Amino acid sequence: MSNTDVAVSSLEVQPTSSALSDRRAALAALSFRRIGAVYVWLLIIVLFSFWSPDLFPKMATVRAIANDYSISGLAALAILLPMASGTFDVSIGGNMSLAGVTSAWLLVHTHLSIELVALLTVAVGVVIGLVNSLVVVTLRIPSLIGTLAIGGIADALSIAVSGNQTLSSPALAGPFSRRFAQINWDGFTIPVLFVLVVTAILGVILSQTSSGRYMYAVGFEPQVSRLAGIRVNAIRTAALVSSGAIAAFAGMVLAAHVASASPNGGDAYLLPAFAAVFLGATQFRAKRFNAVGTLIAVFMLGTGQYGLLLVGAPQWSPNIFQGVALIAAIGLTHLGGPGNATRRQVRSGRRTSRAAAA
Amino acid sequence: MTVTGVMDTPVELAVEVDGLSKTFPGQRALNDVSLDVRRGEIHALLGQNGSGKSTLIKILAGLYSPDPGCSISICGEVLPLGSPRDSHRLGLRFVHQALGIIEELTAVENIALGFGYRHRRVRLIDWRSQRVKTRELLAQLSLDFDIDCPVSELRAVDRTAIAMARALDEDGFPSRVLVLDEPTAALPPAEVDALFSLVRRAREGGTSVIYVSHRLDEIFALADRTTVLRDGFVQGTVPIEDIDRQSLVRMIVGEGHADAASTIDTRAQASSDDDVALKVTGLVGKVLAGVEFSVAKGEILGIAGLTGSGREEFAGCLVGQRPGGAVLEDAEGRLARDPTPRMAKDMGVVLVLPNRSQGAAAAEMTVRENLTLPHMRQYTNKGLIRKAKELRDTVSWIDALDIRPREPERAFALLSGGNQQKVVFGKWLNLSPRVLILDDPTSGVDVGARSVIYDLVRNQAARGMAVIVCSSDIDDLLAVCTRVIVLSEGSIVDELRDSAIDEVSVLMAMIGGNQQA
Repeated sequence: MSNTDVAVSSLEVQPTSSALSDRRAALAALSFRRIGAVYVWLLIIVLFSFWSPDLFPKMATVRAIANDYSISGLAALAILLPMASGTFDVSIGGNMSLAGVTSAWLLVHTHLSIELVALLTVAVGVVIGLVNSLVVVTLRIPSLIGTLAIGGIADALSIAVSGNQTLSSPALAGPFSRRFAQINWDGFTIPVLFVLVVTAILGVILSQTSSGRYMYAVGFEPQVSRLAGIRVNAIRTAALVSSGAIAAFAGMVLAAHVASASPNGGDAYLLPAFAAVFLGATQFRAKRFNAVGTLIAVFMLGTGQYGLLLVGAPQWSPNIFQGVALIAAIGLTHLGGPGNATRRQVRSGRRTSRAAAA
Repeated sequence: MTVTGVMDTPVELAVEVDGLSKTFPGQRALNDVSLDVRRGEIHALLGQNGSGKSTLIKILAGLYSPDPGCSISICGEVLPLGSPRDSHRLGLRFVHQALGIIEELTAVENIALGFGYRHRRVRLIDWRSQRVKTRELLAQLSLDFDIDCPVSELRAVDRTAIAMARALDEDGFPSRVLVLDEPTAALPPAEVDALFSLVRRAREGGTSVIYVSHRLDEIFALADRTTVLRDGFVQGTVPIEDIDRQSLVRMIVGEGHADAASTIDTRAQASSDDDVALKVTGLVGKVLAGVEFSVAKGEILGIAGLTGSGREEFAGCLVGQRPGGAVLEDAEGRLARDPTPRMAKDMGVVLVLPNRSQGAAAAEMTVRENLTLPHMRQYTNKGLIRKAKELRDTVSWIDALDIRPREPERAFALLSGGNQQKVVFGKWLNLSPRVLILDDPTSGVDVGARSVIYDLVRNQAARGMAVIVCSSDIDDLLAVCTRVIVLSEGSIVDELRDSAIDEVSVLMAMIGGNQQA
């Protein structure tokens, strides 16, 4: 560092007064470009409040959405780290199914404590993560294909374990369900707490730790990362193990939530998870997968879907809403947003440099 | 070949160029160039980068229109200028450095890409006649390999052969002149002889060959006559048996450049060379064959060589960024065998890639993130990033390197080329390395940034850092290096020191002019 000592570090010397720049920063933080999903979310809330003023704008709605979509949130957060490090993990659906069935089977067939069941279930997820890593990182099979195959195998295993039937028993509905799904504070059940905690942890990892920085670097430019001395394979393995563990945890919470475990219960969570993560990546820092953006996206999508069902729209409408919302949100942020801003800046940058050259 | 209306010309000329000039805005690329290529001869076109060779070839191909007032005839027929279609019709064929071959397809399919697929009824491809056609074309060059395996599995020279066969295909028009643009640049040394026989066979078939190359060895081995271009002027056309290496080099480089050593005084002082910073043995790569050298503290060592000499992979192989290997030994005697970039970094040996190449920097990440990426350990405390320190250092690097604009949070992609290169430098200098390896440090960089980079290199060397500069641009080497190693065919062929480093000597060594003819 000695050779930079000559330079005067001077972040403070900004042309604008600090009060003005504070306000500007605050405005920038609230711009549509940055948090478009929040505005869309507000719009959805207003829309349904007018559409169904008796049912929608109620605390019960808030509770229902928070409780119902916490598991979707966990599923989406599961794939966050792999996505940040440039790796798809589409095995989470099968992973969640297998986790649900595993915890149910353990509760029914053993006398292990709830905690130990939870631990073993998450361990199964970790194993799936390691197998994914073996396939994707070691054998270098493209992640989309590799994890798709592993997800299929996990699905098959969950059918094998469950004998292809939905497992339900008092053992599931009892303390297990209470511990992982029913405990509540003023109607907000414990999965809400789970999703908030996982969001906080992943958010800190991604934005505050060197591992998080490495994940983004590996996701953007594996070559650069390798040259920088980053253990690219270790980073990708860590990301896949985290997704395996979180997805298994989500699958277990799902089993606790519905007090039963069906051999393909997790499959429905796969696509919404990707929708939320991609939507989340358009928030705050464009093109960067992030935790809070993902969480906002989950609840925004959840609000829309719940609202549709509440106003009596057909059963299939929420899925259409999800697809349209994903495309609309990403399209909007890209049209008026960062993608274009980048291009604009590049263009004006070129102009400036040309002017400077002339 | 098939068309013979012009056999009565006294000396059978395949190509006649007369009074050809080409002016680009602000620069005259070709100046009254006249040239003739005889039938059935291999005619070498020689000249340094920027001498006008490529412009001449592009005019022959009809890609550029020359200045008015010149004429080009092919076997006596006047070539309409600026029309690729007419060039093809009159029999001019080109094999460029990028062969235009699709690696995943077979020889049959690749050749069909050239003249179109033979069809049967209902637009079904007639594979049988396609295969027959391919065999015939390859037989002309006496070639026999599996035409049904993907060409990526073939030797490099066979891929060149496919491109040549495709070019020689008559397909309604005679092929009279084959232009080969640096065909050996991408070939491993062992396959060069095979290429020579291909070229000779094409000549035996009656085709004239215009052979563009930098390498004197090849010219002496292959060509019948050669025309030398320098700064857009023809320096002369001579039969190969009438000229020796020294005279040919002098034609290529020019007499005026002989005292080009005037740039030396700007160079950093040569340091005491007993202070070895890094000793390298057994440096191997695709072309590199066990190179051995050492570099001293404070020394700026240049690596020169033509494309294909191993110079391109030299830097990458040293730190394990490219496939290859080496044994590194630092001043304390620590060894790293076939290092990964991480091992090299831990030894204090770092590679600065040209900013445009893949692997130089993360375009989507900010200036700050790029500057600190290789040494996050400095900026973390119990796993958490120390953002204030990171930002402070980033700002001081931005100032020290004069990176503009002064915005730590700006995306790397939005910087100009020169500023990007400064960031790439900064991220490695931040590590205070012992050995800094630069790969083509000034490619895509403007003049201003170039001098900043030169100053930077000299300053770092003055502080005792060993610097290795691998460059395709001789100016880089002349500007900063205290010693230059010249590579050819994967081995060191020459080593120049201090005042012996001048353009002529380096070029001579690169193109093989120092060997006895």
